Amino acid sequence: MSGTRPLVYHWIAYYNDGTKLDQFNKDLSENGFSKIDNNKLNKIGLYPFSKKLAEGITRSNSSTVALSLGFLPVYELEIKDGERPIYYRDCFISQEQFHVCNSCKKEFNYDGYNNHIIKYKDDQLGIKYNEVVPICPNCGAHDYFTCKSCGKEFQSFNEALHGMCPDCGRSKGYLGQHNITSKQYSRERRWNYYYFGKQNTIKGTNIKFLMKISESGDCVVT
Amino acid sequence: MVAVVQVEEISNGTGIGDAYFTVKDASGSPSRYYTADNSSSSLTTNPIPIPTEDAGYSGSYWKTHCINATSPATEYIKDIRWYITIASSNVGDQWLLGTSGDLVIGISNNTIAEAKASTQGFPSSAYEPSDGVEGTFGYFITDDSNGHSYYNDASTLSGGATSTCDFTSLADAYYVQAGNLQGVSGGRSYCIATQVIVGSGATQGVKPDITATFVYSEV
Repeated sequence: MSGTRPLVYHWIAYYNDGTKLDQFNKDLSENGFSKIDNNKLNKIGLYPFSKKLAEGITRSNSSTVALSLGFLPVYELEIKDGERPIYYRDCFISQEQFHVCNSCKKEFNYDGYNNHIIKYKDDQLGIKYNEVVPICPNCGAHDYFTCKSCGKEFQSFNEALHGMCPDCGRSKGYLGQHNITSKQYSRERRWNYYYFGKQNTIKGTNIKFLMKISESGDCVVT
Repeated sequence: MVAVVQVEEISNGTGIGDAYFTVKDASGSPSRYYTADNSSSSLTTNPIPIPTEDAGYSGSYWKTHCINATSPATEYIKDIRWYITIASSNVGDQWLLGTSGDLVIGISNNTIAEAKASTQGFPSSAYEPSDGVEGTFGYFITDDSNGHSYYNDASTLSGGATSTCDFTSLADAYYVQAGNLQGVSGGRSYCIATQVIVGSGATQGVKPDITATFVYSEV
């Protein structure tokens, strides 16, 4: 569904009486994290979705979409007396620009700054120029111009004096542009980080253990 | 259930009641700054004129953005933050905006540290359309008379505007709204106001996009 990012993990809380609370019930309804009874909690885990559960959730009428990614690692935490579990997702939404190189067909980001400078010299004026253009970081290609009369190649429109081929003159030295990298596209990108851990208050100080888990299962302990 | 959230640009109107809401969605619809109150992504009319050396600097019309949860989360959405991703040290350098040129954002506190720790945005109910002289300049966010009233009254809010280069990663993000999103059924978050400043010596032309990111915590 547009406007959401698919879930790749769900939590299960295990109690010391042998029962458990799953984020998703068998009827695919969802339990809030605050519904977990901390008084009898002894283990909590983050688990990738099975294919059946992911498809069931996605087909249900809620806004939740789930993906089954079998390669994801499982994260489990033992919860001792006084400890409280932590779980939330940081959800990112960005608008970003990208270009597609018509030479090597790979996409790249263009920031209008570093690594996108072409250099050329105006032979008639003897002046060196730097110009910022989208340059493909994979193959080095960028837009270029050729004289429609003699075919001489120019890196930039401005490399030819007044935008005309100096060899063919103003009457017939018009330049043609070859669009290699200049066309830009914009898109929305969404991604999530799962924060999973536990905390305990000891002598008035809150001690927290927190894992930051990416959608590909990589984990950083914070 | 997972919240359905979209980024919106708010424009025109006299207040939130008659404003336009433009969704910045997966189809690719970036915001472009003009000397006009326009949410279009691709116009070349009403650019920001480059001031002469004596004229100091001039501004675009400011833009207002927020996130809108059109369907609520299971429990809550909270701690809404915003940052940009740039290759240079600031947007002014990256876009060649000339002396004092930059992309600035309204802040409600005096220090950058505070802007990363407590709410800096304003409620959507306090939305104010941008204004200026179309095709010539937009009023500065901090203008005493015509600026954004949430950020131009230092006597009550200690507010102002600062460079967006202070907010370039999640760890250094601008705090749009600390705490829960208003309303149990979702709704609009607090908003941000941003504006392009162009100084003398700027290079003309359509500038390449920079990436801006909203972040929120959800359970």
